[in-house]
Amino acid sequence: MSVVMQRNIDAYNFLASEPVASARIGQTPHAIVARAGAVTLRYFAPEKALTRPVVISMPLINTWAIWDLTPETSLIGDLLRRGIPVYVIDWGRPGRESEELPLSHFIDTVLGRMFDRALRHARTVDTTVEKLDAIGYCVGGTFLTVYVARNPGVVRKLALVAAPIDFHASGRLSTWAHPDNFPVDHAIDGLGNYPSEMMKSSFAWLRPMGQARKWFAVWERAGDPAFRKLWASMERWSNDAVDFPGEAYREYVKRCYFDNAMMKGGWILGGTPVDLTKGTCPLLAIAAKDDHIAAPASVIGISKVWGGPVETVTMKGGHVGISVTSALPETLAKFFLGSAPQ
Amino acid sequence: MRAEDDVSKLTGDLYRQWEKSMETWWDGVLESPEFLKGMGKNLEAQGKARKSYEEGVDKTMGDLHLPSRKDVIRLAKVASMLEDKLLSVEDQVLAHGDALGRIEKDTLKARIDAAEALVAVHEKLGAIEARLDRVLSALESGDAKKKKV
Repeated sequence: MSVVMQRNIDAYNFLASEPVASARIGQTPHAIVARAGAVTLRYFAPEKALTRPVVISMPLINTWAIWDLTPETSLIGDLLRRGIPVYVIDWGRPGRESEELPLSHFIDTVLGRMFDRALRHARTVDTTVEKLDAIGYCVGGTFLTVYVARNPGVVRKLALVAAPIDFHASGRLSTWAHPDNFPVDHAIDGLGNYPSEMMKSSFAWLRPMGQARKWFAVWERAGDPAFRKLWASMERWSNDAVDFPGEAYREYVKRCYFDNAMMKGGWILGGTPVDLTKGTCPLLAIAAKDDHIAAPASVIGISKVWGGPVETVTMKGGHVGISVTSALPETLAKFFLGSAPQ
Repeated sequence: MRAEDDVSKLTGDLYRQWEKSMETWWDGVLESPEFLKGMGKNLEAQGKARKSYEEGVDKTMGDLHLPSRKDVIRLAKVASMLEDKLLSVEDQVLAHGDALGRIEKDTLKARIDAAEALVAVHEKLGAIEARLDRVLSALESGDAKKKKV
């Protein structure tokens, strides 16, 4: 049988088996140690802890499971194997009741509360823990950066993964999210929360050929079981997006995309100025080379404004693809388990 | 097999060429002022349409004396606010617990310090007493010698 014919058959059989519906993601055993509204704090315990725990702030617009996609491609699982206890802040699914909550509620109140609960829980395991380590992914990293800068005593080391800071360096997305092109007030006034479907289609349209590439990859590699498993899991995760609470989204777009206030200053959040120069802990900013949502320049921008020492790394991969590389957990573990004083 | 490989490779090459040319075309479209203007107008229209639709539905439900979606959301907001207040109380209780823990720790430390200080005072007093005893016995032996003389 020809290779082309075999690929056609493999792709057909694969898609006909409804792989996305049967894919299982977020399967690493864990416990929920705190809840606040839709938000939950999930604790993943390693067999033997070799360092203090790390708290992960995931993006609000997707579920946390991207970092626990399959047992073979689980960033959380990888950190556990390296002896790092993990807490994940899962933002849940905010409903219409959350549409008027300001951004300060999510950054100051929710993050503050979750770090408090994580620290309390960590002290039940190790009474000597005084500070936690933290990782922020995508917009979860953007919010975490603001929180850590405002609360310098909470975090020992901060790692940001594909987290935009210099929003005017976000390429096509910053052109689209310009006040002349993006009527955010009309959208939020009419829609309440910003719908996940709109967000998802915007991201897809940023790189329209990405969709074609996705299906071509299925045709080319449907014969590979590892690819099939990862593809189905990724699809399952990407189809399960979450609405962004309306008022928080309005402020996020205006201050970050319109004003680029993380870099330029002048942002008063919940009555207190956002000033990243007040952040003092060591920071690692990881950018993905082919990221079309948080372009490397927008991620690396943190080095111009952060008050503490900053290390930057650019890795292969895209905004989501970086999550399933083996290089990411390795770099994070090296940063947290490194020689800095414990 | 050789020819089959060639066909497969050719398909891949053709696809990549097509993708590249399409990418260039899309780049032109997606950053053109017409597209950006259209995108903004479309979003604005969606927002307005949704708003007027919801207002219409709410009015109809109100006319039928039935709770509208807006009413349910309002109720959910109240529940959410109450939950937040409870969480604030929990924050305060935990903070008071921390403060009490610190006070208990400080009190315990103060007790230990006081007990240690008491022991030290007793030891010092014992030493003074012993010295006084020695002085007294020296004085007494001095008196006895004087009497003999």
